[in-house]
Amino acid sequence: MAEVNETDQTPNLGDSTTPSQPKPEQITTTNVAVPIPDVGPQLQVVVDEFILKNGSSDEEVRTAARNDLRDFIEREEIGITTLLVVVKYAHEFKNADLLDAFCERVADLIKDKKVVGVREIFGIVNDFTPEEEHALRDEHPWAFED
Amino acid sequence: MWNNLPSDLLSNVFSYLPPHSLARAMVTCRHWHDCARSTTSRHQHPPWFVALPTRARNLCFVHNPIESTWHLLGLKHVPSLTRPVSTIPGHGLILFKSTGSVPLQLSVCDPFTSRFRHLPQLRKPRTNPAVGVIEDCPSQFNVYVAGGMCKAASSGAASYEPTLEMFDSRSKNWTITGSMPIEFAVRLTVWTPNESVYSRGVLYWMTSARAYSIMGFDMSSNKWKELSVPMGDTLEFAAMVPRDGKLAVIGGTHGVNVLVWELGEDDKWNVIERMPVELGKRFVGGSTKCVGIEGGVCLYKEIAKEMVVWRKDRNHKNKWEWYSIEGCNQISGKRLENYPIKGLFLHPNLACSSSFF
Repeated sequence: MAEVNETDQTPNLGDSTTPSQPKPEQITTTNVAVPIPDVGPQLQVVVDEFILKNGSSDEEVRTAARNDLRDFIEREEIGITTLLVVVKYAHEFKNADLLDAFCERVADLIKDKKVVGVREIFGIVNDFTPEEEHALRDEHPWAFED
Repeated sequence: MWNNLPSDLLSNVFSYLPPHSLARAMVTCRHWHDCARSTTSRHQHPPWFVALPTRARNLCFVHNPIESTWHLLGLKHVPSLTRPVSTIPGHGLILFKSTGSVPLQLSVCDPFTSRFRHLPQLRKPRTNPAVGVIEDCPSQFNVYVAGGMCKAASSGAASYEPTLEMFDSRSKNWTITGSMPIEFAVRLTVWTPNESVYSRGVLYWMTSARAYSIMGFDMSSNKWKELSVPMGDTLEFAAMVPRDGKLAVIGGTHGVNVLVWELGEDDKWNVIERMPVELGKRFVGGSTKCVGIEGGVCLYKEIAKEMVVWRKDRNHKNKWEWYSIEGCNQISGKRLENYPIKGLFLHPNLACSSSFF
């Protein structure tokens, strides 16, 4: 995976007075484009737009960008396979706001499900022994009462 | 795949989970278990109401606000002759104090993991002081003790202790932060307040019975002040509630007429809410108590009786809604006594990384 060179980044179009050297705050890569392979072009467009708007100095634009992204994610019911790709790339590119939006979606898929259901959806292999799992369930019996 | 994502990534996901979902995530596989254990919750979820029977030391009822279910936890280590004072809500801890005429001994307990710890002795041992809590951030809290009575060294006669002491959860030490006017030490001792509320730099306590009044310690100016409580001599029950950083009071008469006031910038009270009449009618009879936390208030009687909650709406951040919740009279099919309870609120903390223990 090629290293992303900060000085070659996509210009921050929200700020018309961008200095030639990136400000220290910009190194946290809010503005760096995150090309995500294997997801549909529609999602890529939405992600690009989010990154653009989220780099704005106007708080209202940023809030709207976050809401738009959340709405899109909910509407399209982004699934597990896509999520896995997106969060991995957002994580590698260290884009905290993008990551948070998609992590919240992953959490939505875990919420209120039983352990077996979660394992199934996420393709998780149970590497506890039956005794270990039993002991863990006993730590918080209130979470497993149904 | 999902089994072995980077830990900080998984912890980020888990920070959005409510407590019961987090507990289940811990059981899916080893990696998820370890990540969940070191997750810091974002506390976006409603707080849990905790009901401690006043006469059954080792029981703790908790109400899951999302599933609307009651659960019974066993408290293993809480010693006898202690009583719950308040909670350290963001850390998921219950603060207990010793009862009787011994100098105050405080301890904390996490009801979900049964972890328990005594706080060290006070610098100036005293009986019956006011006890307050301030949580600055997820990794630190301070406990304050003000007033109380101590034995004068020479004569052996008791006198009021006009000092304020602070416990720092990081250094795990008490320090005397300053002195206080003797009249406040007397009031805080004689009127034994309940939970404190910290708002706009002032630590407030309210007397625990009629006629209600509030005492506040301004942290930055080191000055004490007294505030009257609206309808303070007619309210039958009242409690302070932090509300979006401001101080509010909920109180009622005859269980029917319940009002909420908020303290304005000018230290004047404004009525901001009234309990709906239909709820009030169902709530009549018996002695009512109330407790509040940032984001919610609960009016309750005994454990099996219906309770009324006024809470921030999950879907509309600026709206608060009134709910009634059924009391708990059975667990796993077994009928239970209708215990008188002390009600508290907290956010369950399942992470073992809590630095305090």
